[in-house]
Amino acid sequence: MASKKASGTLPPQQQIVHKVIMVGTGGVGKSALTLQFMYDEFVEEYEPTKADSYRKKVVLDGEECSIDILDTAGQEDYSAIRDNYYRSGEGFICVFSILDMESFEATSEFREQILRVKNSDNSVPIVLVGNKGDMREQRVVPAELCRQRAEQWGVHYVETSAKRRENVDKVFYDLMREMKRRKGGAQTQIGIDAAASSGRKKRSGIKKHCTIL
Amino acid sequence: MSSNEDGLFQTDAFSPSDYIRDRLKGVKVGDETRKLKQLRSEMSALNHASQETLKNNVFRNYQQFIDASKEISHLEREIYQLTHSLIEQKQVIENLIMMTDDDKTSIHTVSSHSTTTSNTNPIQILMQKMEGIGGILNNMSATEKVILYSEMEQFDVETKKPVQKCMLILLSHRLIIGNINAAGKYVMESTLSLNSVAPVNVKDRESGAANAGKVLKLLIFPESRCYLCESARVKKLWFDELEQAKREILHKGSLVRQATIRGKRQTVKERKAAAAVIEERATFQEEEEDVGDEEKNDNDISWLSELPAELDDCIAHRDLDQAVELIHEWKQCPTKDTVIDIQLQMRENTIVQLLSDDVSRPGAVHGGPRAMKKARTLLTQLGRGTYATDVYLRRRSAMQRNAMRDVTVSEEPISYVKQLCTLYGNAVSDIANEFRSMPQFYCQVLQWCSYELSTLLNLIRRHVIEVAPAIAVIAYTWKNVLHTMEDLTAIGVHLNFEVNRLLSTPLEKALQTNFENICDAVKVRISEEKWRPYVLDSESALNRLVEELSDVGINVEWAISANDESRSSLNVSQNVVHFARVAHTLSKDLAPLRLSPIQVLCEVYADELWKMYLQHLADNIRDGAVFAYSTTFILTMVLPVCDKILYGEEGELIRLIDQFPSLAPYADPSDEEKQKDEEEVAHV
Repeated sequence: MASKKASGTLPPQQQIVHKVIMVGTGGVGKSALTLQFMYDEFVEEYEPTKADSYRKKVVLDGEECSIDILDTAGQEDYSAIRDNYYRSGEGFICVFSILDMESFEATSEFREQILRVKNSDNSVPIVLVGNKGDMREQRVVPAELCRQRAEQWGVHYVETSAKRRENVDKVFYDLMREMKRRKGGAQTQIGIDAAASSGRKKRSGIKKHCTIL
Repeated sequence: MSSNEDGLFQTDAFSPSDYIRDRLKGVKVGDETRKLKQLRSEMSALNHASQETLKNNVFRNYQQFIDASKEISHLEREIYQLTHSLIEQKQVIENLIMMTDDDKTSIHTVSSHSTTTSNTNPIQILMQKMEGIGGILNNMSATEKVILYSEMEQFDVETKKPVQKCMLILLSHRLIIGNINAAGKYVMESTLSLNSVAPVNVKDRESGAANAGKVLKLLIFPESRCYLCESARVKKLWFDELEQAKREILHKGSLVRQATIRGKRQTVKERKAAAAVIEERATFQEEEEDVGDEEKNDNDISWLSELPAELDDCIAHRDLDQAVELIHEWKQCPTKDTVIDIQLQMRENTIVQLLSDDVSRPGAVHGGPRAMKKARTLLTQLGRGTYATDVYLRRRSAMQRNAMRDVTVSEEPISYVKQLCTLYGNAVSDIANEFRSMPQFYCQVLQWCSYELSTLLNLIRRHVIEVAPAIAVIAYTWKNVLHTMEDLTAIGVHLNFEVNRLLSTPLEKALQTNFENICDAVKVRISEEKWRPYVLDSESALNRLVEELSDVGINVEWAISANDESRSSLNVSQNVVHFARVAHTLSKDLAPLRLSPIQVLCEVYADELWKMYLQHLADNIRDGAVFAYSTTFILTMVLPVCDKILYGEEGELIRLIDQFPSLAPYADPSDEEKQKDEEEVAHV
């Protein structure tokens, strides 16, 4: 793969950056998952997020890269301004709480919004995440239903507990692998340039779409 | 000239020729010219006088106007001085606050401070600080204003070092970014629509407290930039103001859309109301009404002509709520325009298509029926409720078929039936609950339930009933189906009659086949009957048989041969014991089926079997212990037990004995002892 060969010679600022966006209803644990992944800590207090960005250097399958996590607002009143945020994402972690059926149902809407922003690109990497797995005995969303939805979307379903740090790394690493695979296929250049050019490509796609309308 | 004559000139009916004639009345014939000349000079004097008065009036008013203007400018000066001293005082107070209470509470003060400064003259200040923005700032519309401006440092997230100084200006609709040049002045680098900018807080614990909370990231698709603010407070201020401005734009956009629609509709309504008021006044009635109508039509038509574009916009944004509302208003609009109507009809069809797709696409069912409810409600509002329900139910049918296909036809037919029934029951109760509040669709729902029922029963018929199972399986199948139907009746879906209609024939056939087999087997046994004692292998085998029969309520202990040393034989023939088993099983299996449509058949078959056997007994009356014991066993033990299982306490089969009087002695329990005694005597 081109990126693999080049990684040794790349100056650090041109390292590959995987842009991940956390989406899901308010209070399902997006920030908790992010903070657990970033700093290995669990925050009990709930404070609604607006839009927070995190960056971390990780080693993915022996290769150093960065992950840029954008933790978004889940509250309904943000839905209208989400598009700008989603546009910058290359992979999405769609979180719901297994204790809250509505949050599960809302995942469809989030996915629809993602697909709309991504110009109906069905292959955009998404991981469906059922959080709060530490309280499984009180679960409301049956695991079977979650798996069915993931299957229907053609994505992975992972059940996590941000509190107990269960599967937290798996979610992020799985998604990064998927994004890497995808980038590897479409990549013509390396590093940031590739991301930018693919971005430009997408934008022209949107424009084209508009003229059709 | 007298003042009453002044009045005369001003009346509407004043006629100059009449006036002159009046004046010349009684004047001598030669004097007319002189008189007229005198009148003319009078008139011109009057004219002069009035011109003079007018001039004086104007002058007086002008004097007053000048006085008022002087007063106004004086007051303005005073107000200006007041404002100025107030601002000074405010600044002094703010400075004092800053000095005493350095950070925490001052977010508010700073913002108000910056707004006051920007109020004083932000545009001038900004134009001095940054080159190339004059055009933008001078051409701002009335609704646009400078919200916020700050100097920041562009920041590299990778190296965590500042790149260059820059200045950001937030206007109501756009963000201007300027970079500093060598001369130390900012030059406009880019101007961005707020729609394409999204603010993000950068959380970075690693780079230490120096930059903590001060970095603001702007997502400007496809890139992103980070800016290091003066303080965390300024960053928060920028984040909030950016977000607020974005929301404001969206809000205004939707308000404008709604306002144009509502406003137009409103003015039409108002005009209508106004026209109605005018109608009451008799004076300009007709004229005014015409004008009102014309204006209304013009307004409606201009509104209508914009509507297709408006709808396209809604469709593009998938704002179908709004679209449906617009369609609704269009339909209520009294003015019609054929060309526009055709266009709108097309849009309506598109919307209906979109909504139907929402209802019928495969993903829609996930997330429960609720996920599709909105689309269905909208379709109902468009008057296509029946269609929406139809599409939805068809979708549910497809789901149902898939689910049923997944149930494997196992070798355990009863569990197969159970699974199918549960699937059906759940689906129906789901749908029934969902449509509880929509009685207008009950008919469709019921039809759907009935259709699904026939699918279910077809499957059961094909995979269970028609593969010729034992009567027990048929009985259990029936029990399960009946149970499901009872559950559904409880929630108001009563379809038992459908079950009866669809299942009776196959059930009859299956029962008939079974019964014929049983009869044949019994007939063979009858033909082989030798009335010999039933000799078993051992005493334990006999005990097992006795236990087996007593478990089902048939006592046979009294028929054990007393004179057999090995105690392993019964005075009842083997074929009779076999019949006891067959008859008992049949009764047990037929009992639940008596609640089914094939009740009559069940009873006829039971009757037939018993009649055949009783006839056989009656035809073979003979001496001998085995026959006597066997007959008594059948009449007093087996028959009552079977009767009770099939018909309950009252009993029906017991009456059959009356048809065979020759058997009566064996049926009498009191005779039994006697016969037994006789038997023993005979053996001795």
